Amino acid sequence: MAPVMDRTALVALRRAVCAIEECPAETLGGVALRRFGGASARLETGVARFDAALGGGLRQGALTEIRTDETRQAAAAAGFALALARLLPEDGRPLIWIAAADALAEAGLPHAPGLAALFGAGGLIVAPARALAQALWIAEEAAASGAARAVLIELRGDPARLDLTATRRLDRRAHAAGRPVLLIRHAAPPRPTAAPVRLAIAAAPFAAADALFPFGAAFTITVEKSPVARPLSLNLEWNADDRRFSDAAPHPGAVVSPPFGRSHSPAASRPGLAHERRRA
Amino acid sequence: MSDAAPEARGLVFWRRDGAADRLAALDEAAERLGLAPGMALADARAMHPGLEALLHDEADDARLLSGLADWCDRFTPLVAFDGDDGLFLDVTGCAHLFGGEKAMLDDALARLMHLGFAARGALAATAGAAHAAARFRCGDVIEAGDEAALLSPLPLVALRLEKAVRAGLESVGLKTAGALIAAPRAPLARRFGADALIRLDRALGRLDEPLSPRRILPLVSAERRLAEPISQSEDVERLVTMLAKSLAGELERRGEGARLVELTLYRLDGAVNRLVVGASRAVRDPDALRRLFRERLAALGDDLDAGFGYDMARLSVLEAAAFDARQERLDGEAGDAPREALALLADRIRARLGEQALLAPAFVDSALPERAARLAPFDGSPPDPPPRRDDDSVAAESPPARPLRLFAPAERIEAVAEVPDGPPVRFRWRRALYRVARAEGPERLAPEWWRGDAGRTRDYYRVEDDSGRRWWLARDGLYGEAATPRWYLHGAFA
Repeated sequence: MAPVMDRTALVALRRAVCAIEECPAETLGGVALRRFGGASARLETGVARFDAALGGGLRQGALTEIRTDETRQAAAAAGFALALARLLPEDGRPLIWIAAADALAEAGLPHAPGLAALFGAGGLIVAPARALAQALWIAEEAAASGAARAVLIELRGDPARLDLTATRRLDRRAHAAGRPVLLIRHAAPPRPTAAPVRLAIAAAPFAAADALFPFGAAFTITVEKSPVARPLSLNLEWNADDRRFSDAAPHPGAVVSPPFGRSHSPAASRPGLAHERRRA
Repeated sequence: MSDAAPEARGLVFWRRDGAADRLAALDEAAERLGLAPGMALADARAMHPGLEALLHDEADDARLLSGLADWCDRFTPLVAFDGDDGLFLDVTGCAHLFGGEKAMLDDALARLMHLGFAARGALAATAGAAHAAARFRCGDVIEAGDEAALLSPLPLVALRLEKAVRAGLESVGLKTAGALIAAPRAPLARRFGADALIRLDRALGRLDEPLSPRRILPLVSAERRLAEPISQSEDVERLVTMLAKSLAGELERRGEGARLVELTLYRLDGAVNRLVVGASRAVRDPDALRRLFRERLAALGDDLDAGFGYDMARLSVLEAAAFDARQERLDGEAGDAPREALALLADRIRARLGEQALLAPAFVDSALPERAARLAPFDGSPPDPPPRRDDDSVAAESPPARPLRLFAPAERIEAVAEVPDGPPVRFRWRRALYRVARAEGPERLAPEWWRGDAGRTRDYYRVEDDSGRRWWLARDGLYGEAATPRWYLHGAFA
């Protein structure tokens, strides 16, 4: 009689088969594969309330939208995206940073020494794209190839071409490769996209009054959209030496309120949803 | 080519020759009227007022000949120019593909006639003999060893001699090549230079004559003639796969992979399209080559004018590199797979969007930030990490803070500082006012005089504005050094 295989081993085997057959994990196995598969692995930031608001961390194989209200917040948005990429295991793959030419001209070029000091010396490839269609094509190809640790796309404004279809294509490719695609949109209003998570980013002062330029970065992050639909605004600080985020007490000087009562605030969750019930 | 209509007016081309305008070339109708090259244009017009005269353009002639040479690539990869009105085709080892030498020659002449050219051609064992035969015995195949018999009755024009030398030889009564062959060599060489004899020896096959091909000879190439012309880019892709499969075997035998591949498409009407793709790693896989050419074709889009279709294609490897075979691991996780995926991705992006589409940081040991790291075209190898400075232990421990994003060029701002040498208290950038909450600095960077910089000393400050955004500001010039130091915003921190 064959020994009973435990569930984890079975899942691992199925994943190996999937990798050989080059088929998405879902087509072979059941629900368990979705939970353990590489595409749905979670990227945990280590800040409990942030992870909880994202439904247990950021999904690795997915498109994540990072939005700023103004182009002058570009460095904060890029810094946060790079910090997320830094949390991924180091595997020799470079980071591919695709940017529309106007975004680079407005927000500045990536500066490798500064990037290395804060976010590690992993390889960086910058792809300046002349047009949005070009940027999206490079992004799709890069996301599908699995050659990059993470793919960053940086765009400005609210182009009509970046619609549900375009973002869904990116999301599917990220899902198939199991690697994150981070879409940074500068000076962009919140718009419906296929990204499961949307975060609004702004720069924040460091909480400690004496530390002006430690090797880190500080952000104010607002979770505008997530699978669990729990709005949250918090200040995060990135510590480059420890390679982790920490929850910083909001600086009294600058607090960005969560979007409430605005025309494009997230819709209230429908009654009867799981987390509402839990709260009751 | 013309129907010899009796009322044909004749077309002549003229060019300015010294003080006179002289006829350079004429068509058959003009020839029948009794005109000849070298005649004065005024005389020709006086004789035949209905003559059509156009200015002769040598550049156009050269372009036509070069287009024709491209077309001739279908017979052999080695095509060279013969003066400004002829082409040499080295068909060594190619003739059997066309059913023998005579059949090949007839085929070439027939095709040229269908394209509308009045061409003469001949085939011989030496370039000099072929040159002479093409002009005086069109359509013949001269066997090796028959060169002397061919040349003997021909005038000296057949020997490609310089005009002055030819005139000199003719003035002493040597009017045919045969007379030149029979004449004693030493006095000839003394009087007319060695060149005449070298030409003669080359034509006779006593000396080798190197031909300089117009294009780089491919290392390996595969070609296919099509019975039915194709014009769809999908069909071209399929053809690339077929050709790449036949190349793969030869590359494998050489232990190499292709780094630079050229696809030559011969259009039905004689035009030739060339597409070149580069690979950052040696490739042999037909599918990988097909994908590279797909991007190249997509980038061309409508620019690739297939016209009535292509009837022949050739895939040539222009550059190759050693191809190291790898053993796939059983668990499918080949250690080199990510690098290979990156190389293929980069090649495809560059095939479609050009060399500048992908950039990677290149580092220079310099204190000036805009010089220390710049973005250079990505060459396919994994990008380097920034170098660590070992010479200065303090600097190595805490490198100076550098911004995440750098503006190139630095943007001019208006700044107000409390004291002339201090950090600014507020500044205006892009029409918005920023109040500095905290500042750190200065970090003083002197111009690199050893590189010939004529710039001024810069003081860099790291500042945080009242909303928490962090900037890298620079004052260009110290007080005292410059009359009015200017402020710049050079970067932004995360």
